[in-house]
Amino acid sequence: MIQVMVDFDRCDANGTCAALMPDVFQIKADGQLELLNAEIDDSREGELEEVILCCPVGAIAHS
Amino acid sequence: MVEKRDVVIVGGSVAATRAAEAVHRHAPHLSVTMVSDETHPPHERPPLSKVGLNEPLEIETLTYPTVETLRDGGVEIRLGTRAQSLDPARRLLGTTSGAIEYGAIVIATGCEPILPPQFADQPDVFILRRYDDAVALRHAVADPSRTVALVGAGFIGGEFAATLVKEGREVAIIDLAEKPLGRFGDNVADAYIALHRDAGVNLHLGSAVVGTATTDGRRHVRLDDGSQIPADVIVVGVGVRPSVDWLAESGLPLDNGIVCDETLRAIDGVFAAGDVVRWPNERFGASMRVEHWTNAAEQGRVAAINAVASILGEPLTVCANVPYFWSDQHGVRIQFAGHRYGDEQVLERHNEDGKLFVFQRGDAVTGVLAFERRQHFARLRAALRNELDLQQADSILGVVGEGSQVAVRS
Repeated sequence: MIQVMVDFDRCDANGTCAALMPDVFQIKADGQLELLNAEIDDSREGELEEVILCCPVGAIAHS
Repeated sequence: MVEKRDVVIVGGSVAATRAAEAVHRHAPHLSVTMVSDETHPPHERPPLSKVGLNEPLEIETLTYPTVETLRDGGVEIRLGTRAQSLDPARRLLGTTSGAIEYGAIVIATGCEPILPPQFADQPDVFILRRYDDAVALRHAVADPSRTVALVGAGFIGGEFAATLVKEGREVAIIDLAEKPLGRFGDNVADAYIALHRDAGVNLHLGSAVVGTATTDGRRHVRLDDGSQIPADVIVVGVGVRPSVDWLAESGLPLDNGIVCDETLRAIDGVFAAGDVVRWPNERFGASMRVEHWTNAAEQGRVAAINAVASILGEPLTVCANVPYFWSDQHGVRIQFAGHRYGDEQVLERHNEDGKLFVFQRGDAVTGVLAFERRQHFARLRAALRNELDLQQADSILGVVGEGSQVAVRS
């Protein structure tokens, strides 16, 4: 399993992560980001890489 | 003697940086050189128009943390070096610091701002593309008595206007078009106009600048309706054009950008990413060129993965993303996802939290533009990765039946 980490101090709730992996990241009703799953399957490494590279504030990392 | 590298990346912005990261990650054994004409290491650009006047704007803070990782990992980042020519048959890049032979190349030279001739060679006229532009502009507007006119009502103008208004400054936006953001339709334009008017920005729309005049050291911009707008400082944001002049002799297909296939390949061994690419996006069945940050990041990654694959003889990945942009102005986040064809119906799904426009073409929803409405927007943006119809979109929005009251799901 891969650990997903969000730096909520940096997070700007841009939502690119929530658009690319909506089952892992979500924008809540108040407009802020919520991490739905802090662990994802190894098979999704490529998806997470795209999310990490596309976050405009570089707030996402993995184990 | 000609240097040799497995992968050469031309450019120093987000597409180039993401490309370097992707190569480093997928094929750390390959040698990589980034060639950038900037003197600063790769850094974030969105803050250049977004950061408040009194907040720090330090290059050290803006520099991508990954730059250090890349350098430690053996990626060469050659700054202050301009790409001058490309010979795809010999796989040779000519630069101001010599020629480099490559196995595959990723071109991410982006766009350059257009500066209309009437503003050329005038003092205190700024475009906003690079870090040094932003620093110089902030210095020029630091004295609160200096007046600022923004030429162009797009996102550069809009964001900088919002930054100034936040500090209580008088600011004018001038645009030739009656309807700013007009490509999204009149209703979106009207919402954008209202946002700026309500915030106290002086809008001069449908107005052409016919000249400037300076009296007693104070400059004014003269408009075609006879009015004079105080303009000690002028910021021009009227659009950009792809930086491809250096490729004129290369034989690469050029047509408002580098023409690539669905894998971002121009010809054998040559890939491109970001604002400079025109490519057929299979998700939308359309050829497009996108001038926004997220597209550059996505394409930098895909182009680099494909550059590596071309060297290793592996199959290429298709780039079929959902174009997206965001802009924060006057405390409101404006976001768009999808593709604008120009012949869509624009449907309105507003509620008390903000305006939301759905672009529909036949049975398909092809785009969504929102003022705030962040949760709804994020869900629709995610859904747009696949074919989406209006019923599905309305179900996401919690709309029951067409044209009925919007009910937000709890």
